[in-house]
Amino acid sequence: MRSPALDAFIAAIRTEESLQRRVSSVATLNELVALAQERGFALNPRQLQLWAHSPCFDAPWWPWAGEHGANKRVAFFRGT
Amino acid sequence: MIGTAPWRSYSFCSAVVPEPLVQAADRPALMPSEGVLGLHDLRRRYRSFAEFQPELPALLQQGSLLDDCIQVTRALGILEPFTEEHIPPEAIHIQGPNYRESLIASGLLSRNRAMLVVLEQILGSLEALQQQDVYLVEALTGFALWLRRHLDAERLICSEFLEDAEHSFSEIPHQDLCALTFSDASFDLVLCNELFEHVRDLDLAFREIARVLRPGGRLLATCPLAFGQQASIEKARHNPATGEAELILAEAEFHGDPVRPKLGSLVYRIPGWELLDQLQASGFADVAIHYIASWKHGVMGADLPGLLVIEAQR
Repeated sequence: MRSPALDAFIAAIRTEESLQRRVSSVATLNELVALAQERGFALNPRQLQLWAHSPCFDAPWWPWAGEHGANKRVAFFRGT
Repeated sequence: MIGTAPWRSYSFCSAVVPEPLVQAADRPALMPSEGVLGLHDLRRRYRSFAEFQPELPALLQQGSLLDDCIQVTRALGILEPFTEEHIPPEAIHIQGPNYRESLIASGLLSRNRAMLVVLEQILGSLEALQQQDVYLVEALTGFALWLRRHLDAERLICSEFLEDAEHSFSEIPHQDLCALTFSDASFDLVLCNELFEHVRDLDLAFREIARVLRPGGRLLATCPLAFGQQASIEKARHNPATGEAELILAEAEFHGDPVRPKLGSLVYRIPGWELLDQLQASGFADVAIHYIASWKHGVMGADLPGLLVIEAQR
């Protein structure tokens, strides 16, 4: 079952443009986790990795959006 | 339905079974042969086809004992691996002669119990299993439910391959064995049932599994095996340029799949023993195939009277 914190984080990003800009510039999974935690969402890297292929990560504000997005997305979550 | 029973005090003569869970009159009388007794809990480990091949004729011959073994199971029930819970005969469902798939108890199939027997042999106890970080490459099965019952949620990750899913599975995460999104060295155990025949690029999947395992971590797996030969039987291949599968054999073969109940899941190959070489080439140091035939634990097969479980250690 998906973590409620993940759903809440995704919902917050969807409605808040400033947060969309922040997530679009994160370079690593740890930075994304730190951003979530800074905003009060109790997430860890594993919870995000597990749902990496979820449609909620298809949105255009994610740092992997664009050409070769699928490969970039996998690399981002792996931390490679 | 599950109780404890003085298993080791059971006799094969139903008249002397103490306090039976089923009335003795309802049970078949048993006079198991020496051969059947030999399959009470047979365990072997083979590192190559060369080791296995000389024993294959004798193992196949034991197939004639399968029905007698089933009679014992029908009379005594089984002991679940790890938990040692006695599952009485009335709680066991046998839905056909392919006992690998049809001998069902507490939601587990024969091949699931075979994997648990091997895991117990390796780890020693349920407590030791509970200390492992486990990735189970399935989420919708009785085996997944069993592991969820016995492992802490923080220790167990389950996923399904949800591309072309015929239903919505919003509560189940999608993972692709050929492109896992976990960090390197994330798990102690990867458990993989009936997938290797369906994976589009098996070498890539093996490298991915090796990548996410910690040093010393293990992959345990079952899949249909061409156990009588070194070479795999190739049935289809993935074309990376088109993203489509191309058939090698004239007719596509599909296996049942809870995610795609109408279409099923395409079979790319039936792996042969060369699978062990592929695992070694993918980063595993110690590879073997276990053979388990155990009516005590409800592990019985079809073509072979036992089950084959792949083990690969990083």
